[in-house]
Amino acid sequence: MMDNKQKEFMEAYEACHRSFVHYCSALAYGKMDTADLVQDVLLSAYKNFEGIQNKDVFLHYLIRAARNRAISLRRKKKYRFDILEQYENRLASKQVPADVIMDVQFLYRSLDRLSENQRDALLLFEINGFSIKEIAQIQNKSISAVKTMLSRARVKLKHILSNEDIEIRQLFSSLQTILL
Amino acid sequence: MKKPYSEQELFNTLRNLPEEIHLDEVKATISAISSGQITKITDRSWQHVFSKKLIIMSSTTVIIAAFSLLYFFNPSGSKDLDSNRSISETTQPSDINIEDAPLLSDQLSEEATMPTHNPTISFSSIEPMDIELLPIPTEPIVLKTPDFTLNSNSASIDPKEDKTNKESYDFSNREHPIYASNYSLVHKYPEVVPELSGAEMRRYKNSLLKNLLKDGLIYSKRDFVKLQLRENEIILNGKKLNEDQFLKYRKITSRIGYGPERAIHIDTEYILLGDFMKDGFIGSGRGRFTESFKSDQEGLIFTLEKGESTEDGSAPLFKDSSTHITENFEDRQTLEEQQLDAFASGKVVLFDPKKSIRSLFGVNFKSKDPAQLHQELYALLLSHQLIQTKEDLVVFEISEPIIYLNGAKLSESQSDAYYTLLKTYGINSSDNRQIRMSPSIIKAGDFQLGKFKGTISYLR
Repeated sequence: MMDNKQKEFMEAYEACHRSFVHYCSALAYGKMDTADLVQDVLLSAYKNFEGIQNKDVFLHYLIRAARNRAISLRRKKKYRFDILEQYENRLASKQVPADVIMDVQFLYRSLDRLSENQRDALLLFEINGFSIKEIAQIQNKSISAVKTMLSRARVKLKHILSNEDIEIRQLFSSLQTILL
Repeated sequence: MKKPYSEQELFNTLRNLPEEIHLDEVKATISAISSGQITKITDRSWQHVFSKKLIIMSSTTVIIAAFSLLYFFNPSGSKDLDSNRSISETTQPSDINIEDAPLLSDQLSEEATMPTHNPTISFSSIEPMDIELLPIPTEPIVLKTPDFTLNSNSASIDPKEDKTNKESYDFSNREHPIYASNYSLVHKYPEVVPELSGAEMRRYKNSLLKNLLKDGLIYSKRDFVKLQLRENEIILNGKKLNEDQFLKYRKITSRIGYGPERAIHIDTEYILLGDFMKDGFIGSGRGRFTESFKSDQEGLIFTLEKGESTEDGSAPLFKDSSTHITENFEDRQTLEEQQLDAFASGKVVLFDPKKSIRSLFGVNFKSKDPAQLHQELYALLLSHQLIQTKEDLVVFEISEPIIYLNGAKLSESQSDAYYTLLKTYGINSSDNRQIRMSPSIIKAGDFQLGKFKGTISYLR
């Protein structure tokens, strides 16, 4: 039988689940098991759940907690093969096509080439659906700063994806061919 | 060919992508957390906390620091082991009878008292070693006669022989005196004549003069000191020291030993330590020594300047003997008295007028007229009725606060009068400073045996 705390926690969490897991997947891509990051954040959030006054912004809390815990991952430049393999297997088990998996991995790798704040802002805005104001609150920045950051992140990402990452695209194309 | 990637298409793909972790898995995790089954994330690799670089760098630093500490806090560890081992080697044999072999015992005791740097080292694991006493020289160990002593009378001790028969030596045998530089041997057999190095004798001289002056037993360091070291008393210049002084100077002179003829003679020129016998001296000495004064030998009066001629132009009468001990040694006081007597007799003209010079060493008349000083001194002496005529020979010893005239002490007022006069000529008191006058010569400066620094003027 679920106690009240667990029930309340699950109710608050269910609304955040999709965005939170996507964000964690992007943070932990290739460097850490997403399940570990999610579990670590949930453990901390569950213990401190009574202290969270505004349950409406529970997602903000989870995002900040995940980002703080994954901050050391940003310094790692090399991807762990076992983590990448685990990620692909999880998506494949959910009947995600291989080309989509390749596209997603290509996007994650491209995002890793952005700065930390640019990457965070772009992920929160494009994937999690946060407004610029909410991103400003999460990142403790002004709205204009977030706008500028998003603009520069898009330009940089577009540049990465368009012309200068031919080698990466060719590599992923070849991998896609092999997998298919 | 696939068209170039569009970021919006990729984001759409990602947005529509099913979540990597299903909600049911999260519920199971929350249930496990609430039930206490998960209290800590255990799946995280420890490498997240301890990277290889961190481990390698930290461990290397720790190792270097540890070795540095070991080295700096115990820089001679290996030497300690070696030295301690040698100590154990020398001390383990128990069949060495130290009492039976004084020379050997001293050698061993010196080794055994070597400081140990690390007393915590256990020697239990060191195997006992056989000790061979062969390194002990077969030649006499410490018996070495100084050059100026009676070489033919020296004797030696064979340590092996002495170990077996200690009574085979008669330390009191004066015909074959035994010298020893070993403190404990002299201490045990006071009859043994001490043999000291030059540095040791110099230290003895300085130490004794300093202590005697401090105790008020002598008036200056220039005083002649004759310290007779008897078994139960110490006599200083004929005066027996009291009990406290006896204990003090017995301790200071413990290295010299004691005996009926044992004494220390200290002069400004030398120090002699040993046995002063009627037929000679046996012991150690350092400094400049003179031939004994023999009153029956004509002309042996002054020996103050090397190269000076006597009245008849013969060679200097006294030898410039730097390290020479006479067989009939007499103390300086007697010598000086006799010198003064001879000087006063007028038998000797001290200076060859042709060789008289004026120099600027020691005493400088500073352009004053020495003839004027000569005249004024004689006038003052006559006024004080200290001399009879201007023909008398005069020797002033100028040392604070009293002036000696021909060996006689002047009164304080008289001394002041002469000091006042001499200072007008730039002559101050000092050790060894004298003014010697004859009717035709005045000589002022620092007089030492065989050495003079000052001004000589011949008065025409």
